[in-house]
Amino acid sequence: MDDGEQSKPGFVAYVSERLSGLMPIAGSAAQLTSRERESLPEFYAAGHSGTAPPRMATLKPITYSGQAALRADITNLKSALKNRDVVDVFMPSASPASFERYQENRCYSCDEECLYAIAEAMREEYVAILDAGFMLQIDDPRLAMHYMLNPGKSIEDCRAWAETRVEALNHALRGLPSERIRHHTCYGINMEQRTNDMEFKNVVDIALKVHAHYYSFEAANPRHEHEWRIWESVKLPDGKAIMPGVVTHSSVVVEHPELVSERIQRFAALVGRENVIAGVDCGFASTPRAVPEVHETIVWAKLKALSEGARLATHALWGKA
Amino acid sequence: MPLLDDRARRILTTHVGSLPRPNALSEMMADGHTGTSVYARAVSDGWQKQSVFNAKPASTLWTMASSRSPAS
Repeated sequence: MDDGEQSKPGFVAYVSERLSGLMPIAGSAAQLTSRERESLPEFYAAGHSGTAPPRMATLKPITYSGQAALRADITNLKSALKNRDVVDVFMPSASPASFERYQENRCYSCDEECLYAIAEAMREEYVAILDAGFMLQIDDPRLAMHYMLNPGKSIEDCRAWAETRVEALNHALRGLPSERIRHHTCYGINMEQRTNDMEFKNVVDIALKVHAHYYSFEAANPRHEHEWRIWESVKLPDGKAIMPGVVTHSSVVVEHPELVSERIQRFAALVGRENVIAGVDCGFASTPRAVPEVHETIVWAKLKALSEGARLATHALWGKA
Repeated sequence: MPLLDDRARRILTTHVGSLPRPNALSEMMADGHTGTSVYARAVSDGWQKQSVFNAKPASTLWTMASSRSPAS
């Protein structure tokens, strides 16, 4: 459970309000080129609701300046927890790589130096979340999405890119308790055709290098559900756990709890029942919208199905309710 | 109960962060306004809703009973 990211204008857009050294580029929007747009331009021309925050220019050395906003988020979440007996509450925070895309480096000698500056600045937020007693979730969709967003890049190009980004993320997470860190990657919150997503098999080994204990990824939509078989050959490091999506954000169809249970059991058979936490493909409301892509009533129905499916799986795997 | 111990007893569940905002909050944010009290109310309301799926024995969300409090 978390604060639902209620205060954030976007899972990554909020970062531009918390780092100094950057200025908005007037009239700009983030890069809209993608393999998806190139393959189905008619779909996007018809008014697809993808988001594109303004790009920022990095003009001066980057430092973290979001202490007040972060403090407010922590205070709000702690207030909601009063008189509740709970643990393992998490707070998401964007990965350096995710924010990197939304800025243009005009300060550092190379993009990698800029990436590490973002990482060093974001470390302050990561440390503060952990110091507040929460688990830290690193939101890192770009790790899996870079291939789709860069039509000119090969899978090998994207793997090399991802290796560098994970190294920078681990630099930001150095010395922090991995057992209290979750890593989430995905293919975006928008409902798209998904025919150009990088297959998870091409990046899973790199994702598992992140200094974390829990790994969240998409596994419940028609484009990625079959990828549970990856875990037949991928070895999950000892003591770590996966949080595969067993309900999806990319359809308003509410999964039947029996299907949710089946999905959980597939993973449990491959990595061990104690190493599976039933998750969701992605967030349900990354940005505030007048008309959300998934209506609130559907969101809660999906989370109810998730809970019921987990109970069924528990019964099947442990022989109890 | 520590998370690792609870994982050995049952399948836990989680979501990945963003949850629906109240309409008033979405409209306020779309207009570029912010306000801590509104966020605080939204967070509190969200917890009430997340807790609906947390009643034992169906309990699977990240709210295991424990003497350890993240709010300390």
